[in-house]
Amino acid sequence: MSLSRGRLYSLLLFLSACGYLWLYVSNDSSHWGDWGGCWIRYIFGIPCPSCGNTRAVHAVFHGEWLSSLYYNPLGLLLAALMVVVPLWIVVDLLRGSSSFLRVYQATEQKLQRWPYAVTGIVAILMNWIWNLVKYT
Amino acid sequence: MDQQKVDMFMMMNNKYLPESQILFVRERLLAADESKEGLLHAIQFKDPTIALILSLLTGELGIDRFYIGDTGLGIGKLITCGGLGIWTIIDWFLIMNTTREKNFMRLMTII
Repeated sequence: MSLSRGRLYSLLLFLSACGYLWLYVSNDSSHWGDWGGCWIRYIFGIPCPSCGNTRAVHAVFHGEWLSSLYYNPLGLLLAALMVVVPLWIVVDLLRGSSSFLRVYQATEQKLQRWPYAVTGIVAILMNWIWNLVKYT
Repeated sequence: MDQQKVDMFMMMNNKYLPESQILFVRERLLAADESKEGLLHAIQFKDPTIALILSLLTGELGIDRFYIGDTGLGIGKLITCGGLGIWTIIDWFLIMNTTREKNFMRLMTII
């Protein structure tokens, strides 16, 4: 009961492309002024749970693991997804298989079960509190 | 299924389903077996209005996507600050239809 293979693959490829474009563009932050890509921060002046991810992903790609963890631990997850997901999808498309779709659906179902969901929510909230302490 | 029961079901639930699929759903229900009735009443559809409210208020955190069962995309939205705020705005316009499509897919797995 998820997205179809074609829609999911094209959406994720598009999102990955946007992610790499943002990484490239945000290298020179002088154009952007106050706008860091986050509505919550722009309107309320407080960081959201994933603020710092752009810096964290930059740090991962430059091999600075510790500073990436400091900026935002979610950046590590995001960087891993940005590398693995497009590669996996391209390999899937070349082979004509649907292995990524099956793994995606299985992961989705697992995450909807309450032990995983509660763990995820608690982790995100703790990260948000840490972000509030770090960035305000 | 009995026409009266189908009409009653459609009257109560048509706001949860995509407009373009209403007639198709009605035909499928009329052709369906009586034994499906219990299952039909057990389905809990997601409300498109609640999805829209969640999208307007907490779209940046992907909570609208989590609500309709798109956990994967919800996580994607959460860890990217709502797709840098752009995905959030796009979802304000798309989320109601997406919710109805999700409800339709859930219904189709039963009948």
